[in-house]
Amino acid sequence: MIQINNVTKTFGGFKALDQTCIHVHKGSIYGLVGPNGAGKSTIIRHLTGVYRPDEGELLIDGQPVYENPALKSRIAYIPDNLFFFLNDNLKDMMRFYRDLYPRFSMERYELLREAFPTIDEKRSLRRLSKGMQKQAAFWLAVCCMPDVIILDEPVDGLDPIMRRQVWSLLMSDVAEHETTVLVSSHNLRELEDVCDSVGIMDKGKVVLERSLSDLQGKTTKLQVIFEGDLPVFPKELPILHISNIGRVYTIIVRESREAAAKLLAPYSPLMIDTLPLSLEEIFIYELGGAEYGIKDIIL
Amino acid sequence: MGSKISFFNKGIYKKTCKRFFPWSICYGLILLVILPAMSGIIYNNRAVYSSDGTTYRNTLTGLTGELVEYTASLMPFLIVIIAFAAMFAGMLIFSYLFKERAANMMHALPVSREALLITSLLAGLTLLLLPMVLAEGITVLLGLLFGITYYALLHAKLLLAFCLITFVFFSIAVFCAILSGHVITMPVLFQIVNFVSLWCWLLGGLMKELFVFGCSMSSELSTAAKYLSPIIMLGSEFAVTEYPDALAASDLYTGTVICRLNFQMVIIYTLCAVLLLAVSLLLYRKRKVECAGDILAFKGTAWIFQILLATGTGVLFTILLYSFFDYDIVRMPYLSMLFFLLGTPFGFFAGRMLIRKNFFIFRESAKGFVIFAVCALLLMLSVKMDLYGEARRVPDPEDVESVTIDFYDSSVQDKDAINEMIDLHKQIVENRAMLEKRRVKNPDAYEEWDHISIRYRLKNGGLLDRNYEIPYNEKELSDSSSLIARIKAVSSSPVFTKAYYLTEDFVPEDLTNVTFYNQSWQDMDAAEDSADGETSEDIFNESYYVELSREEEITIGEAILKDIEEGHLKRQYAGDAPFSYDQYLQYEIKLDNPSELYRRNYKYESITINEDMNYTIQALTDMGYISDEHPLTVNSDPMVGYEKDPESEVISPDPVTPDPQPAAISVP
Repeated sequence: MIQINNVTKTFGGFKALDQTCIHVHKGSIYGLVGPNGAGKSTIIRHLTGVYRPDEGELLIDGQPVYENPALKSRIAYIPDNLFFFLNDNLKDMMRFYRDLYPRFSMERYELLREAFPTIDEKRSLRRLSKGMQKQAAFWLAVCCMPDVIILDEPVDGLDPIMRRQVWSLLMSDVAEHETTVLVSSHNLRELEDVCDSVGIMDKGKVVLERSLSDLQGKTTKLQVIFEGDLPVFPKELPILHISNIGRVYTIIVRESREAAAKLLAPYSPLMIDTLPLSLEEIFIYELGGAEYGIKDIIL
Repeated sequence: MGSKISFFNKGIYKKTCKRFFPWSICYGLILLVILPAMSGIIYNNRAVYSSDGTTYRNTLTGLTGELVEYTASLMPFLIVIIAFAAMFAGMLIFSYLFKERAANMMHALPVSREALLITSLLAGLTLLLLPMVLAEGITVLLGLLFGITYYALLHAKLLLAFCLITFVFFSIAVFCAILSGHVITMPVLFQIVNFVSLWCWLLGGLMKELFVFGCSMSSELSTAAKYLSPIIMLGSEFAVTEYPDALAASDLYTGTVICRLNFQMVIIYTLCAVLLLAVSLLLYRKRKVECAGDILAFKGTAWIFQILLATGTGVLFTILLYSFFDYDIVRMPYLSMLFFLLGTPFGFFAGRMLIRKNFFIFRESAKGFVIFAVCALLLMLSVKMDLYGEARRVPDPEDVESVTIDFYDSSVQDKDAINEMIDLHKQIVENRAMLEKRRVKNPDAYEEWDHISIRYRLKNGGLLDRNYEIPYNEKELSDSSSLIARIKAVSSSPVFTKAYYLTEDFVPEDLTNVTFYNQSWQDMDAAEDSADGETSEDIFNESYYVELSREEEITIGEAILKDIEEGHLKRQYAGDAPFSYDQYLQYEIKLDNPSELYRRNYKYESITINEDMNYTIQALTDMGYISDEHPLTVNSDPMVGYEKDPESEVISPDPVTPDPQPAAISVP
């Protein structure tokens, strides 16, 4: 559904995107993660037709996005920094979107009123709290009946109940209407629960793009105790990270659990235990290899 | 889902109109106050004022005159209001381009840029035109209601013109909005677009005045500069003109059209505005959304912005320093160059700071500034050294259609006179080194000065103006081969004298409205002292002037002509003592073509009688206006003898030292 091929974007000499490639299947939820300044928001602005790429192509459903109003009417976008017109309330914005999005569903709008009971439709949106503004944005976005929803830090500012409510709405949309969702977030714990696939960005490039199950299945955390000191491993071994507490070594290997255990077997460990990795750990260890590891800073 | 190309979006149009309608109401209120409300006040005042027996027709005529006069006086002000309203509308409606969040949101909407621009344009025009239509509509209705047909018709035409002018200024505002990335830059660019030609004209004029021998700043804005400055052009040229004559000649009850509105010019501007919108659309398609919040949306325009600011501060600095030290700027071109260069870094670096939004830009822009300063210096030096030949330029006689000395209403087409003037011009240019050397010296200490201004109208339609300061001393005046003597001889030759006082092809029948003035100040002084109750004003009214009959006009025309041809009447030039009789003639001469300077079809001139004007004195004597009872009296006022405005002298008579001669007697 979404194809981003070798997109490059430069801002005054700074390369924000460098040959970026992303592929998202129809009816899936794609999580875009990466450190600050990795280029997530930039790629999202390209996907919503705000920015024009210097190089490469961005296609949604096989069509370029930039200056394609027909295609953009099938895309709903919730930015990290919301914008509402001065003094406009939710009803005003609803009318505005209704005029712009041909598939806007009033029926859905009415139905969703129950989902967002705390929002006063007649109150100026700019006077609502950040969380409420986010809720209002969701309410309007899903009423546009989009084929693609693009979210930049969507649940930032929402309380836990509302977060669950919002994710539930999105997932039901994906299930019922085969909506494709691309979501950028730093909340990896939540992405882990909802995403089908994940792309990790760093320095304008996608360093890793896989389905979540694949990603989690192909990276293993091993806790190992060796008889003596840590053996010297050959460089060919796909080891992402090694740390230790006493004699217990934690080794992250980019392999499945079985393959990882087999890799270390020749070194005769006294004890070896394989553990699943969370998305957050994968993110940290993958980017650790890209010189974005957690530094042991002592103050 | 159909994908149709659309250039209009109803949702955005509705939203924009709804968001900014309070602003539109404010604009409407201003227009309502200055158009219908003020007209109503004038009407009511006039109705009360004229209830003392004046006829309805006269009342209506006077009222219409007052209302038209009010409208006419309002025109430049209204043009400025329309321009500023358009600018503010542009700032508001295109504000989404200047803030990152708004820009991202608006450009993520399913609307093409073409549709976004055109919809915003239409919304802006709606917000600007609705109040205008309302205010002018009420004014038209008011006129019709009170039976002032002409006034209603005038405002109906004005409504159309104002709508087009609004379109013109809003198009400029749209163009500026697309070029700028910040809400503050937009109005600055709007002013630059409107006044950049004026600025270039001023800068070019100043440069010529400073560095080109014989060139000076024109007192009048060039046509090109005016056309490129819509506020100035529309404000000054699109006007209700010459209404009093027309009012007098027209039947107001039938609403005869008398106004002269320059619709042709408005149409030209409208077409230009359409082109400007097309350019704006092309630029908008190229514009990057990420420039929201930057000073300029297109990086290529940054250097223009910096150079404009740099030259601005350079000129300002030069003028300020000269004002501070009280120096004559024209006499020190090299010091002017230095002052200019000292002033430019302020604008250059400030511009860069604004563009980069950073104070620490000196290292990165130092190279650019050095290049700019060197280029500016080379340009000034090349102009000063006359590398382009402008100072040496003397036209070929074959290319010259006419020549004028000092006054625009006195052109001469005579071939010999043109050749003579060109020879004189060449002589002046050849003496450039001497003239410039004496110019730099303190002019007041040793020498007298006079000016000669030459204007050639070329056959290709162009103009060549030169203005020279000519120093002289007593020795040079008495030397017939000197430059000053030559200038004096040429400029006071019968051909140029005739063109100056009359016209080159003057015949006595051309003379009209001749008035003979007998300005004896002694009468006025005597009146103040008299005890018979007569005031100086009474005496003035009785004795001051007499209007000549048609026959007398022709006779006096013939006499003046003979006096000029025989050299009795000459133009005054360097060293000439003002001749000073109290008596003078004031007259008009019909022109075949409207005057270039005053844009009227007659020339207004006066001649002070001097003792050599035998034919004129004889003619006036024959008519009985000069006699033993009414002798010519010598005036000691040194200013008399030059052009004089009798009315102004009457209004504020500043009696000169009483003349010992007896008071002149009133002319019957």
